[in-house]
Amino acid sequence: MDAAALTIAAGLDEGELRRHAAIMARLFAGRPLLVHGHHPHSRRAGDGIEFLDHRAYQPGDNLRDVDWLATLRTGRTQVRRYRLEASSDWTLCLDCSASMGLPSAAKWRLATQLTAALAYILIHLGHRVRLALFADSVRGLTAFGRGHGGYMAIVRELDRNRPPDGGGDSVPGRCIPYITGGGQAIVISDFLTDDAMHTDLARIAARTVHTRAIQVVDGDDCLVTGTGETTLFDIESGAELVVTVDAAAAAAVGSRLDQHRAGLQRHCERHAIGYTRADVAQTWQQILLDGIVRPGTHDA
Amino acid sequence: MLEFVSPGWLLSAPLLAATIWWIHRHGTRGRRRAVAALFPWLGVDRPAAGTTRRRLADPAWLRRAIAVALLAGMLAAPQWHSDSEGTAVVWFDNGRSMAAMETDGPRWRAALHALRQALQRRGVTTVLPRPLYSSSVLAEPAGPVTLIQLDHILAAWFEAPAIQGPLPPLPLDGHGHWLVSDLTDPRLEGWIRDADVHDVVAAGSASENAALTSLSLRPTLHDPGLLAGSVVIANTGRLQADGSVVVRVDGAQVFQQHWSLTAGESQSFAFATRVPGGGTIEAVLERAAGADALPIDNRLSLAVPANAWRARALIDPACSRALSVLLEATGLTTLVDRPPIDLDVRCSAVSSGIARPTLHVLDSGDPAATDRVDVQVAPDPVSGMPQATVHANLTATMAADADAQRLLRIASALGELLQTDVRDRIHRTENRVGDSQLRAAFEARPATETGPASDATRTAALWRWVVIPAVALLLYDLWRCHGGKRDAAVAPSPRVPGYRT
Repeated sequence: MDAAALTIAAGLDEGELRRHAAIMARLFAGRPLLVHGHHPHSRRAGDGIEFLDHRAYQPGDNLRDVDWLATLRTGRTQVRRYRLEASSDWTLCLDCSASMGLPSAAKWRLATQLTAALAYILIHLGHRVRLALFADSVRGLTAFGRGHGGYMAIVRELDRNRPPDGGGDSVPGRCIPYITGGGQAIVISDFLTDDAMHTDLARIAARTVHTRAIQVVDGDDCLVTGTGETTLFDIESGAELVVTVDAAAAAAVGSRLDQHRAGLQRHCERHAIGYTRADVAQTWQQILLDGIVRPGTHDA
Repeated sequence: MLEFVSPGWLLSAPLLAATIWWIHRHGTRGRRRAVAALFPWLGVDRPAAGTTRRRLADPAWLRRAIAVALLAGMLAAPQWHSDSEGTAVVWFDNGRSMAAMETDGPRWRAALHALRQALQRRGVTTVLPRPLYSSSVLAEPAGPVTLIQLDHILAAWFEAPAIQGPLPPLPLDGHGHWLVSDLTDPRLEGWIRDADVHDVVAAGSASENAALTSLSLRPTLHDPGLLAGSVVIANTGRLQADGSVVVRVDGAQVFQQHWSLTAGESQSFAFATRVPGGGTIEAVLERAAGADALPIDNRLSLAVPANAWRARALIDPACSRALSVLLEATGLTTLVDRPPIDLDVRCSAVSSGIARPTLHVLDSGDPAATDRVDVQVAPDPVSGMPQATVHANLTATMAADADAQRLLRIASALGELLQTDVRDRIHRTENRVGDSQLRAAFEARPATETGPASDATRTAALWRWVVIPAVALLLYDLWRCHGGKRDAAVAPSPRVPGYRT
């Protein structure tokens, strides 16, 4: 691959992605990726690290796999079998509704960076990944793919789509038909709806073995410049509200948004959904390492 | 004092301001801002409906109204001039050649434009316009006028441009006199040199012009009912010109002749006709359309009364009999011995005391000057009446009395004399179009570039500082209306690289 194609304006380059993928491969060694108490992989024996069970030794088995304690205990030569770390299917659900374009382009930029980076890493780790861009409907969809082709399909889809200037809605539930049952899903959105998409998140979680919500947060979310009487309108629904903008109002809005995020976090905890907060002030690398790979840092 | 070129724009300012206020009062209240979600704002203090209706919707209306008013003021083209600035006396050439059509309009308009620029460079904002050639139909302003008013005055002047008559007295009063002319009058060079002329603004580039310079008639000696006529055509352009001259009496053609003249050349054509009951005789140069820069000098007409008018001449007893015969032979005079008279012919130093154009006839007594009659005309310093001095060898002239051509020349000379005062009653008319060199514009004393700032310059600087804030206000409003950060809200998504495993 030529060097020019590896450099991108958004702060992603293939070398960096590859390094992060390697780091994550090491971090994931011995434990399932992003899973807490679930079993994302098939329960077939094969090459892997996680112990599955014992079976009788057969000619050709690797002597390193012989479990001598089990052999002494049972009187027959036993070898350890490991869980086959075969690939699982991941669906990246990215919100491309109009709200992702406000209050600045930073939210959409970070969301696409995270999506591309996650796709790269997951593919690098051998998983099949698909992208579903949703608003009030599925605006873009790729097939489950691996390798360079699968990644490039996602990249092209990201490049083709962007938040519209207005209208639409944010309905992650539209992605459910495209999520493989027993697969895994990551929903990337600002979750700025009245119910913070609780219902749809729960439905997605019910269909997958694991679901993660990445909330993209901008400190200026829902705030406006200037003071005085202002007519606010929802970029998606068009609903209007006349308010008096001042410092107190801005503080109240900020407080309400904090409550809203906390509510989403609690909802994720209740439904065993991973939760990551991605602030536009952070880089995608920080978010990946701190919020996703090191579970517990921001997890519910 | 502040003046506006287009004051109508000032009226639009309050109308626009009122419109802006109305839109802000009754239109959508307050600013409109897009947000990702409205729910965080629910419960935030909302303005009471009653108070909202009473207050002005958005104070920005005042800012916008001011900006629009400033721009309307700019469109009104204000000009500032102070009375303390000097007033220039501008002698404007109102001759016919200044009415020549250039490629972009009459020559006098181009000259006026050049004058404006020159005056503005000097900081002169008011002028006292004076016509170079006097005319009974001219309306001269009583006092100084602005450069804007000058346009209207000149438009009135050039509705009937004057012929190039006597030049005005030399302006030697020490004021800054300006001359605007195409310099087709050769006498102007001396006038400029001798007078206290501050600057000369010359204009004119069109050079294709042929003109009828003279149309004259006189009764013939042998048949007083038969009028001997003469037309003179001059090519005052730079190229060969041709065409035909047609003479009509009350619309009926009596003479036609083709002519072709090189640059600077002139030609005279003689014809004879009878106008027994009186009428109008007209000579016309017929040329191809658009071939002539100054069509106004292609036509001359002459009203011939039923009974040919003769100037009543009181002849000095000291004059010779030969002069009396000559004057009668011209067909232009009737000798009388008492007032009322039209012409006073003196051959001695004794004055008749009658304020009339006076003809001083000086017999040169030179036998060699048989074919020469010189007429010099000058106004009387006391009465202002024209006085002519004729140097002639009358004896020799009388000897050739039968020679009609010579008499015609003498009659023409006398006619020129008489024209100075009673031109409307003389069988002679003419165009004066000047020399063949229609010179390109020049300035005798180019304006210095390092002079003090003129009012015009200051005005331009002043209004630049008015327009810039007005535009800045509107741009600021535009930016605010668009929501500032909203501009960057929807940016292209990042491009990511290919993948290689």
